[in-house]
Amino acid sequence: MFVRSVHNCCRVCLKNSARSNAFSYFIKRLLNTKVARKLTNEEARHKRNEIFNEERARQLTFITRIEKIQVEHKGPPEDCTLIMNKGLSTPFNCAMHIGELLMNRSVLALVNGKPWDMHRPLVEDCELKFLHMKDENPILSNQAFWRSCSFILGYILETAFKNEHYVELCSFPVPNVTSGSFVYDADLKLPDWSPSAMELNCLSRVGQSLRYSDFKFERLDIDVSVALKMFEDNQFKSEQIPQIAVKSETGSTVTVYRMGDHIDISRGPLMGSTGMLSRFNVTAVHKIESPQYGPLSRVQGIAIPMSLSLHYWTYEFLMKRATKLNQAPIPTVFQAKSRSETVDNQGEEKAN
Amino acid sequence: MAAFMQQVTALSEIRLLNFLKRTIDCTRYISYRQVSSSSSGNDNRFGGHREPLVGLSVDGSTVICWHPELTFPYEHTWPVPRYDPEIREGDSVLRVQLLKEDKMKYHQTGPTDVELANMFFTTKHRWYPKPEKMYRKRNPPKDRDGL
Repeated sequence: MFVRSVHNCCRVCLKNSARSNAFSYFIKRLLNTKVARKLTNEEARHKRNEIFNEERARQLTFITRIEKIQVEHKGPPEDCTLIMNKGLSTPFNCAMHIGELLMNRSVLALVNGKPWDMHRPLVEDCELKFLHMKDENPILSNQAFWRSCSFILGYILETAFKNEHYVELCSFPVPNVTSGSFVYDADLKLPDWSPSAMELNCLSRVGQSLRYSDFKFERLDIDVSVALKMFEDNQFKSEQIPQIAVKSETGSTVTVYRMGDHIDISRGPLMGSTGMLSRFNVTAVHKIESPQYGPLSRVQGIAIPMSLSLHYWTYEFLMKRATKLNQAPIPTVFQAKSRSETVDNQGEEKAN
Repeated sequence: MAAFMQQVTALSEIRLLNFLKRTIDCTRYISYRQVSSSSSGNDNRFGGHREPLVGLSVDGSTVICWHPELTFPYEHTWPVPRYDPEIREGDSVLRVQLLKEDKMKYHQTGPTDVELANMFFTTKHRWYPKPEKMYRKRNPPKDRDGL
């Protein structure tokens, strides 16, 4: 009788019946240790999604009666007034009533002058404007786009590696367009790995394929306890969450976003959906050293929205520029309070 | 002699050996030499007769040579160098699916012409590209005064 051990490294022969009892006990112990095996990213994501669904369903039960709100839309194609559902209708739903152009091109909405996600429900009577990439002043939509791309980098890092590599995402800094690249800092737990050109292409392809998946970014405000439970497998995020919550308006809420099955903390706002991506490239993985978190990897990338076209020569020039180490602040617990995107939830005015 | 050897090469090696056993007078070997100790070690197909032999036929009219292909001694070999990039791909930390997609990026997806022909019970010609269709002149119906 041959029994293969848990680690697949050797075979144990049980021909001798006198020894077999001791061996079977030993094998049973080995099999028991198999239950407490290493956690994979896939399992962690599955757990986060379950908590997200549960929490969203719970929040929806608070809306027992559908109330109407008046939304005044300003801007092309024409000014109009819509009667929408309070706490349910989103700017995207308004765009569906107004015209297909707004549905396709809008990155963000301005609700009473405040940037608002396309898929975030409206809560009161408001004035609504839509922002797109070719506005006269596209700063807000551009920043939302870069922030979303950082978010997508996190998704790529969590999904692209083999199951035995458990990647822990740390945080991403405020989008800085002049730096030439968006960034995600993560602990890949691969000290000797530096990606080949082919591997970078593979990572980029994950981002490029998101354009066809057309995932929308769903926003959810959750309580600290739920957020801690959601990110209990991530040492960095579980450290950051209490700090974020303290700085929020209520003092105990954290904003999380979901894209497809990927959930991450961000103060937002993010763009409407991943269908707006056109080119997306992961350009470099640099090693950085954080005083609190230890060695981390700074993953950089560059992308272009669908509505803007760019000659490939120019794009390759920008890609080359994006390979240089981004000088964004290195994530630390103290700096994170004011600078880091995933940590500082409510500091939009200060950071921008 | 050459014609004889050509004739015998058509036979398989075992049949050749049996043939030689019948024809050669084994007591009248002209030369005998052993090439490698390990080459004849495991190979028992020829009853250990891996060594080259030269002899005369029974009537003494033909010189017959027995020189089967020798196996290269294992102790004189080197491992095959693992420089193939495909082998190194397996060591990548990325998912195999992504690496496969990268390799197949220039491959056309979907069925081939032959598969389509089998699927729709047509000849393969039905599925060839027809660029003339693209450049065809439009011929919209005109109002005719005569009708």
